[in-house]
Amino acid sequence: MTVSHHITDDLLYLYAAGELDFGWSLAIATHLAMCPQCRHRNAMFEDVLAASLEDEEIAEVHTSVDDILGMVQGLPSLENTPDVEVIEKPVFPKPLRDVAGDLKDIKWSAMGGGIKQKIIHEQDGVISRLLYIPANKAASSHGHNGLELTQVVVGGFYDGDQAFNCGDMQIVGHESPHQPLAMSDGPCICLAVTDAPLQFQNLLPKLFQRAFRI
Amino acid sequence: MPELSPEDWSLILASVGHSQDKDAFAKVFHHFGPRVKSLMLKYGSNNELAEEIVQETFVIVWRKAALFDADKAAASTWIFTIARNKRIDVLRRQNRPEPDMNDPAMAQDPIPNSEEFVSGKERALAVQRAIAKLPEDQREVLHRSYFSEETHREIAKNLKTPLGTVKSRLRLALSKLRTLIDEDIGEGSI
Repeated sequence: MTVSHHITDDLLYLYAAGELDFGWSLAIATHLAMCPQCRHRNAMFEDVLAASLEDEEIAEVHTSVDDILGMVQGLPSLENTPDVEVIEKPVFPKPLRDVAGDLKDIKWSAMGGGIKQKIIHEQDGVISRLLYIPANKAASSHGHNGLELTQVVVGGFYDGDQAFNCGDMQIVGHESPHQPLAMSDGPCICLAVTDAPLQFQNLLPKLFQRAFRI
Repeated sequence: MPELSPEDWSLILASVGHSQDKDAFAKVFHHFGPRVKSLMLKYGSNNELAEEIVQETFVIVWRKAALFDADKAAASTWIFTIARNKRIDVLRRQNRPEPDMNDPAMAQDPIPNSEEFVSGKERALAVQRAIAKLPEDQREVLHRSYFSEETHREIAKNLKTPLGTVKSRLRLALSKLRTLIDEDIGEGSI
């Protein structure tokens, strides 16, 4: 698996700083699991951020070292233990499995034309969904007000003249419509993270108005 | 006490892990505790919250010290990542999604070639040298401006492009930084 569409510096840096919402972080962590190159860049950015620990002024800490040693008393060391027994190699990388389960666990909703989706996380207007596009099928064309990160976890797709293979991340900015077409050798499964259209926030009050005739 | 080098801190932190050395832990805490707190204040936490993050960070530092690997990360980077995750944990009661080195579905790193392999320690040093060479305004972007309240207000005003403002500011600084690091430890290392 050779990844050719990577996470941009700015997004990766904000991820390393811990400044991104859950959904964006989920897409980035899934990409990192599939891309050693971006993992290396991520480690470098963590060094950059940590460097501010060395050259910054210091603040007074009221906790003593004995306080800390008191807190850890009786707590076990934390080990990095691998999963006890993996019978079958999972399809989804761990960050995605932690939220959605593995591919076999997904309860898809049909969207017509063999295309399926499953919303796996939603918070503060950021929606994470899995998309299943059968071979040679195209998802509906859509524009978007905000940012959309699409991480390929199975198969691959074309969008215009660009190919996105397993492991690649497509980053689509503001209002550029796009239409992913699954490659011919099998279905394509992507994790797509978007921010909800802004008008949605006004729609709910309107619905309430209608329902309650206020 | 003479100033300790990043290498010294790696050794001290490693001895916390190997031999549950409480004196070594006290050294690490006295050096990094006030720095972690300062950073958390800068991220916008109030004093109480920053203190809580410091406490929880160093509880984890003690409990995970045996996992610290000086070949993979500098001591400061390792502590930074723990504090960053604690901050997310404390603020949002949420785990931060991150790749797991033991995941069987993970794409493996290429085997480090002895000539090209750069250890975490060497990498961190190269990063520090590169940061020192950056123009002041770009260094500011990397370390300060997007944590500030002003940036957050600006982001809140532009709800449609919550990441846009921050991203464009960072882009330039990061591109310059990568050039400097490439010159230092070789092309393609970042």
